[in-house]
Amino acid sequence: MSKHVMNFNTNNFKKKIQQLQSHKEEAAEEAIMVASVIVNRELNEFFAKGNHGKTGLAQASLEKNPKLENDGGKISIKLGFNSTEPHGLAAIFWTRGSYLMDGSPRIQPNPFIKEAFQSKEARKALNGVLKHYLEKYGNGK
Amino acid sequence: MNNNPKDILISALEELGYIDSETIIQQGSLSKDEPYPETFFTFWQDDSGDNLHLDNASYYTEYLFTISCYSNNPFTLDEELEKAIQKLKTKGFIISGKGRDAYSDEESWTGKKIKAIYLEKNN
Repeated sequence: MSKHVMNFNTNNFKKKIQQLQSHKEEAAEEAIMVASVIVNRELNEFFAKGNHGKTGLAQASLEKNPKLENDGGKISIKLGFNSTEPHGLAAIFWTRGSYLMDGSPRIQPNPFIKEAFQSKEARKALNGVLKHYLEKYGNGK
Repeated sequence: MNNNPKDILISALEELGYIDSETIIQQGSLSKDEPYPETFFTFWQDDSGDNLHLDNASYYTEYLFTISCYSNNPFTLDEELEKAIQKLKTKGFIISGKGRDAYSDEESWTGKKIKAIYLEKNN
């Protein structure tokens, strides 16, 4: 796995989910799954626009079927580039000074990974799921 | 007086002897045929988000810049970046650390970049 890890910031999610009387894990799993679909879609959209698509290998190394992991209540999902597949080509994003993310004097920055992980739409979806659960199983219900 | 954070950034670097559009340029704006100047700065505005809310209105706009310095002399690079950090701090920029390496298209040039935050008070 790549050493470069970027996290999806969920703001008050942890705090708010404590207001649930039950179904906490179910709510967290569903919210993370919904948000991850959007982040993954945004990562794919970058390539769909014709960027960095000479061979298609970088796009091919994107996680296709991200799986939820529940490690004793710590729920996570791994998204992004799997640098071990198919040829670790995605490493070009990182090892060569991450120029695609930060640019160079001759290349404009294109921080699409950062933007996907900070996606407002994904955060909205995450909070939408939480809201639905809070209405159903929140305090006083 | 123009209070645009980008202009404040450029004028701070101008005070160090750099010239707007020549040795202070936007990241990615140098064309393929143009040679690198000996020492120069690039900037890129990464973000401008709301910061601190009072009465349902944001109190500050938080500008985030990436400022990179490139030079064909690694000693000059460190010195000039340090000078820029100190100068930008006096102009109200918040900068943490001494920067990290930046990718350079030219083999003889090395680069270093810093992240700088500028808080602009909203009216």
